[in-house]
Amino acid sequence: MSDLLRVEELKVNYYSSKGKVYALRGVSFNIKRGEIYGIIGETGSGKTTICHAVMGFIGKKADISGRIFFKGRNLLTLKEKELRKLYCREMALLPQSIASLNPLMTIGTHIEETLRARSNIRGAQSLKKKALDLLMTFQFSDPKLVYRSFPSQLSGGMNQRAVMAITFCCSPSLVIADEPTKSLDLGSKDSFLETMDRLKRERNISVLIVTHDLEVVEKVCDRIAVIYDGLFVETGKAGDVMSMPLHPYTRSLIRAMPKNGMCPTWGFAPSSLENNDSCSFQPRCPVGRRLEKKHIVPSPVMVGKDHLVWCCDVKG
Amino acid sequence: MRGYLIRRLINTIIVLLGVVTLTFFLMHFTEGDPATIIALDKYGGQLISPKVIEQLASEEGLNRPIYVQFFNWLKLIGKCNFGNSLISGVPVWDEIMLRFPYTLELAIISVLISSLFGVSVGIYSAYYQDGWLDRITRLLASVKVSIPNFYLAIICVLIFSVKLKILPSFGCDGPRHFILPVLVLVISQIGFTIRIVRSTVLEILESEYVQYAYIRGLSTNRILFVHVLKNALIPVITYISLQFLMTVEGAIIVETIFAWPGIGKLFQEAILGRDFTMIQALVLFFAVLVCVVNFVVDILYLAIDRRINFL
Amino acid sequence: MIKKIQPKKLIYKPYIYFLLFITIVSVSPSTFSPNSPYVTDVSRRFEPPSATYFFGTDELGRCVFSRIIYGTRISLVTGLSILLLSLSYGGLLGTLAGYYGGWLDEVIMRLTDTFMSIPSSVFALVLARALGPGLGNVSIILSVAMWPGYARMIRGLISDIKNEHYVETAKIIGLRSSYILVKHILPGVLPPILVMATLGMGRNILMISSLSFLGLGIVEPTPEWGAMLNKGITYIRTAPQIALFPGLFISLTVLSFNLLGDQLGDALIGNTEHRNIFMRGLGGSK
Repeated sequence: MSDLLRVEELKVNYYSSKGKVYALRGVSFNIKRGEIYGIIGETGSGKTTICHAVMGFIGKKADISGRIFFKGRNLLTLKEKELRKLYCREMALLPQSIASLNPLMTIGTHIEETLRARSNIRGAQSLKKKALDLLMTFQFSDPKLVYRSFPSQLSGGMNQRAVMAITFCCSPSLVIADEPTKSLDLGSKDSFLETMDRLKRERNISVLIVTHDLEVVEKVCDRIAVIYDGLFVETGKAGDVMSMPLHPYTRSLIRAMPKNGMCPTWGFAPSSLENNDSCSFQPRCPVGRRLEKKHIVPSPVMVGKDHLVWCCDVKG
Repeated sequence: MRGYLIRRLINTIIVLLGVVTLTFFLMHFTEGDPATIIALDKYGGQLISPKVIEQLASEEGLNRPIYVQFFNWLKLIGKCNFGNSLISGVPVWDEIMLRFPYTLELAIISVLISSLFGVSVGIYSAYYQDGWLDRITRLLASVKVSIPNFYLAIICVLIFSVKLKILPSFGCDGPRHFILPVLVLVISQIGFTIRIVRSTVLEILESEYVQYAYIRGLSTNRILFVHVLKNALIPVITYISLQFLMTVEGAIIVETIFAWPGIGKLFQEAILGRDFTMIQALVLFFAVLVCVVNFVVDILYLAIDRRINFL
Repeated sequence: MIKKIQPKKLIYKPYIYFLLFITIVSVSPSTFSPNSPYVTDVSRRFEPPSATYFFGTDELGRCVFSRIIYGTRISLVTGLSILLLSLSYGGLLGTLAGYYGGWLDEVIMRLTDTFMSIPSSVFALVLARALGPGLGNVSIILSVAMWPGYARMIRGLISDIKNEHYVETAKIIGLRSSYILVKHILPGVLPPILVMATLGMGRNILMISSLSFLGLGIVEPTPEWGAMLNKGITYIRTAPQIALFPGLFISLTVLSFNLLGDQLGDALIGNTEHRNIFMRGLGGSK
């Protein structure tokens, strides 16, 4: 099966008032069709930058290098016009908050305008029918009511589902979700994850989920990557990584989960102002802390099928 | 929806009542004794004596206590009787109705032009923020807002009537006579419109729903002229109504300079000539115009923001 | 918040120099005017600009340039007094309305609505007719015409700040109202008021000139810019300098105040919220 998305050596630098910020320092991964890929990291690790880079939102004020292949085409070489043609039809970004809905327009209008712009459906009747079908797929008990409603008349969870419906209306091949469960309560979170799973199975849609919530990862991801300070530290199948975490950082994340005792990770988050070969996690690593000199990050070691880890403490 | 309308209506009525009261007392406490004024006007300076004034006062009912006069006046207004002009002797209401259309012509044309231009330039200025269009319009807008409209009028007259001799500088006989007054009104208002539209649109452009529209791949035109415009329309309509009222206000000066026979000029004549009844009626007229326009805007909101239907 | 203004940037703005110039001039006009603004010389009427008379002479042979110089003091001082007066009434009522809310707020708001229904020029003209000409009267008249706008804006500012968390916390802790007002609310309200005042100076000067232009407000031979325009328009074809130069100065002064106000606005109120209050203050009672 060929890859839907293949990212190679992606590097992104921003310029801030404090200097150059190395948001991504060389990240590579691939996503197959019908696969849910999760990227886990803390705030500032660079995960949102990955989303922006794939969608082409990195502006002219930042440096970006590497290759992002989507269905064989390198997105970084495309002009803006070409890139925009892909939006919502092939690649879609699922927005985080429901403020993304125009308060003066009904849900129905949102869906229909997207359909009109991004698909071949024309004619008021067919548009409306498709919109109502879509709403039913997303388990709205009364699609007609939601179709006529304004965002302010629906609950937060319903709005969230509405946003999902709008994003999926043209069946994009890849959906990028940046912290989709951030503002959801437990009930909505569960239903969101269920929907993700269902879409994957029924429509073969791939999803790139960026999150810091390991529960999401556990329940719904096929493969995951753990990112720290702009670099991946461990990648592999979700089951493998969660049951047998190899990198000390991954281990600390899992220990910090509420059900595992919520142990905090010692130390401070790294500043992204430096770019060198040494391991950024060393100051916080139970093993690395005791060592005197700075470690150079080794090449990835493959442990088991598809499970990669970048750690000096792990042998092949 | 009905609740909203009713509330706005009640508000308007309260303000109208307040305005009527304010006008009445304003006139009475500032213009001095109306009886003296009327007498002066009727009989000329030499023939005035306290006796004459008193007789006039009792004739016109001007010597009764203030609150009685107030209610009498209210009754008269109810019948649309505002008295006669002290200058021309013609019923004030007729005179106002005769001349209001001229001002209305000027105001509507100016507001239409400056709104169309102002809103589109404002939107594009915000969209291409810091582009050449934006910088030029921002500077020009500041300048336009600072130049007093009479100065602008003078300059226009100087350029077009005196030096170039292509446009008439007074009168209202033909379409060419429209150009200069409208030009002055438009230029003095458009700066204000552009600045406010621009800042409203800028805010909207940064909102999440506009970003989401972009992410969904909607065309720039759709984003600008449907999403942005819809959300901008409510503040923009408020500003346009304000602009209409400012134009009517500005017409006072512009009509004076260009000898345009509208109510602006009428007002200025009344002020200079101490035409008590006319002044009183005109002040009330202006105020009622303001209230009516505000109420119309309230109704327009209903059409735009359908959410109010459910309020 | 005042730290946000970078004094360095101001040096590059020409309007600052213009404002400084006219302020200095207004303090001591006699130093800057080559001739007397009042002395008439009928033999030298309508002269075009020359070495002796920089801007030429007017219909009575007076030096236009000198009259403009003396006019700076009139405009600035009157403008300032209007500002202070209207900010006082407007500020007081606005603060009461904003801080105490409730029926007091409603009543004051209806009051401002009523006053605002009468356009300020109309109001001013009527009062001017009644009170007669003179600078002092002009100050009173225009301050009465302008106060509702300020009242509304200040009320909006104060009621918004009042709802901020830090004020609510102060109340819960039990601090006295007067203390809260001074220590918490005032610092939040001062920057927008400063911007309002600057823009207001511009508006005031415009209104003063408009009044004088229409023949009310300033008595001859006081060299007020608007009044000079009034006279100048009659002679526009033969001696345009009488009208052109005063008008130019009005525009430049108002422009400088406006630009300064904008700059201050950007520096002090980066926060979009407060900018909204500005805009809201201009609209109706929505």
